[in-house]
Amino acid sequence: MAVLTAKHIDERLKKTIDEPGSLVITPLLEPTRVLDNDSVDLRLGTFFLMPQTPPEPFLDPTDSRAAKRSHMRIHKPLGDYLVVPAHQTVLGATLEFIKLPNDLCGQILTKSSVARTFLVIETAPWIHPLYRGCLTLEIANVSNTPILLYPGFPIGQLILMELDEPVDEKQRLTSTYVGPIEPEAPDLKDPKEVLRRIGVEEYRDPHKPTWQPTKPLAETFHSR
Amino acid sequence: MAEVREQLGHELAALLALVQSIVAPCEQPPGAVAYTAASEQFRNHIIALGKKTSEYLGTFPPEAERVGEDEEDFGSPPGELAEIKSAWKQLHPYIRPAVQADTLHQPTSLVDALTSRFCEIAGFEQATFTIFHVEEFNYLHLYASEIAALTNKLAKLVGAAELPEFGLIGIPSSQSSALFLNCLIAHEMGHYVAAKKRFLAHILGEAETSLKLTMKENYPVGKESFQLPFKLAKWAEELFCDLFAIQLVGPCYAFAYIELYDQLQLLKFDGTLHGERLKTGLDFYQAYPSHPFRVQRQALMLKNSGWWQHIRKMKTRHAGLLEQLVDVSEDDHKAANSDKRQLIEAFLLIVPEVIRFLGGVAGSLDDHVPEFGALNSAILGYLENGIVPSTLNVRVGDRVETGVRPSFVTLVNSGVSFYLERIPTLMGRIEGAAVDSTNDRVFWMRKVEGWIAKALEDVRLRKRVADGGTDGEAH
Repeated sequence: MAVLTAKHIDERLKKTIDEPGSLVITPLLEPTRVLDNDSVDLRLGTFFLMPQTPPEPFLDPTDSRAAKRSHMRIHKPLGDYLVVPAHQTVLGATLEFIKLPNDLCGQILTKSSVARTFLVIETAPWIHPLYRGCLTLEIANVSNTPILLYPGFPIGQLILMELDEPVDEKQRLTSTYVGPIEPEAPDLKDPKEVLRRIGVEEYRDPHKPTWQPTKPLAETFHSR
Repeated sequence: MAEVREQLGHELAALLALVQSIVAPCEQPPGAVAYTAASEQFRNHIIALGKKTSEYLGTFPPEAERVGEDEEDFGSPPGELAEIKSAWKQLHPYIRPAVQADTLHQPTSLVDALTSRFCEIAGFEQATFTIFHVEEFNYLHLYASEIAALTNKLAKLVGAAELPEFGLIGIPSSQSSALFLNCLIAHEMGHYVAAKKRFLAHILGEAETSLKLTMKENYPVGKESFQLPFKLAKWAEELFCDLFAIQLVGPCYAFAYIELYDQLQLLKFDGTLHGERLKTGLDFYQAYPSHPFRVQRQALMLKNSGWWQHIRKMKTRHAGLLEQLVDVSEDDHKAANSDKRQLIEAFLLIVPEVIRFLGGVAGSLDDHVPEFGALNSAILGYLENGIVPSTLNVRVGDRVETGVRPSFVTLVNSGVSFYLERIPTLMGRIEGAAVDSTNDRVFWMRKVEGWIAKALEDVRLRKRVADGGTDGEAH
């Protein structure tokens, strides 16, 4: 798995989208400045999801609306800034929309100058082949002082790597996070479905005092 | 005197409390919101007006005492207070709707792009627009001159600066983040142009002449002789604004119009016109021509432009309706409006003047049709692959043109054509997306709107960087 150099990144950026190996990074502002030897600088976008206290005392993955209710959507146009208090987190996104071809995967890292302010931008940094969208950034201010975030500033570095073998170009795209243009609240899976698949028959429902079956009642009855 | 002073003191305080509560939403917008430059300007103006009113009321008692040596003069509250109160009460309905329309609750990238496009018109290079929310399901243009007259009268009383000039456009609050439907904003921009270019005054004369020609001895005398030409002129202004919108943004305006005003009901599923519904629909309203008439005029304008070749290739009922309505005859309009036949005849006579007037105002705008022809299929390809089409690599013969930056008109029209024709194709590429599911369809329609909105933003940013990075920005 080789890391792509600036020359190869540039070559791929110049392909039409129907050509094999085409890469899209848009808008790529000041390309000569942001294309490094082995990476591309990515800027901070203008939309944020700020965690807020949800109406419930916990974030319940069984409730599909819970994740949405636990964030406040914020827009900070270019020129404006967002304050991230000490030890606080916020979801942001890259300004650039990215589309990876079927033979590349990638990783986004905090730019070293940003990291030295004790700002972490990623906890799920891996980008799969065929991904398309602005990258959601799980920004955490782990320092003891509030930090200002300026949309439009380079905040991360995208490293691109060639796969040993390309994935199937024609495969259907998975819909969970296709083409986001701003940070999206997590699409949490219902735990009872996941648990049922691995043979767990009961789970604790946070809204009810007792254990609940992972299978629908009728199904549970018949299986016994 | 002390009693009078006490009474006056109470009235001043009550008025100040009222003004403070009206201004409060401008001073304390909800949460961490941002505004476009024009909205910010409007908000700041209201805050400044509130501050000046407060200062004015604070210095009022000594002035009143000086004037009020004569008990007779002092027997009733000073007239200025009533005027100030009245002006603030009239401003009141516009303040919260303007504050609510922050950058998250208006189609910011579309409004920015529309404004940039609008500024290409000679004489309107510096125009700006403030968006506010309305509760009716309609778009409206607030005559800036009315608000300006109101605030300037108040400003004069309290010694504040006059309202800076901008257009005020109301959009349905529920449609605040929609992209394609909000192409209807272009029509409201037309009203701004009409007001600035004194369209009504111009067309009133034409209306009167044409009415006299068609009504002959039936031409009314007295009050109605003013009302009829005015009615025709108002119809003409609506038509002017429709055609202006087509000139500004192209066919996407007509498609948005058809969708908002439910005009697809005029088409049967076999693509032909529904005779009965058309007949009912052709009836003109008091303040507007009928919807089918307006869509027909938009279609005719498009037919006389390069857009028609592209519209005819579209496989959508919206395009089909445009084609069908082109053939509706003037006699059909007259027959459906038998109670106002002569009015319709007179109105049809002034339509060419409306078109001529439009040509004089915005005729030199580049329609971007050749660019659309060259880039449309590439943009559709990007969208079909779930990619924001803001930096295009396009094959031209044997070579590839890289980093192409599509114009606003091309982007929004390609986006609308994708929205109308190709959502199922996109959904076919997505695991788990069911074309039969209305919810899934809405989800992907919104995605496409988002991608076009992002592309509009990106293109504007790329242009700004290419121009040296000196464009204005929202605050």
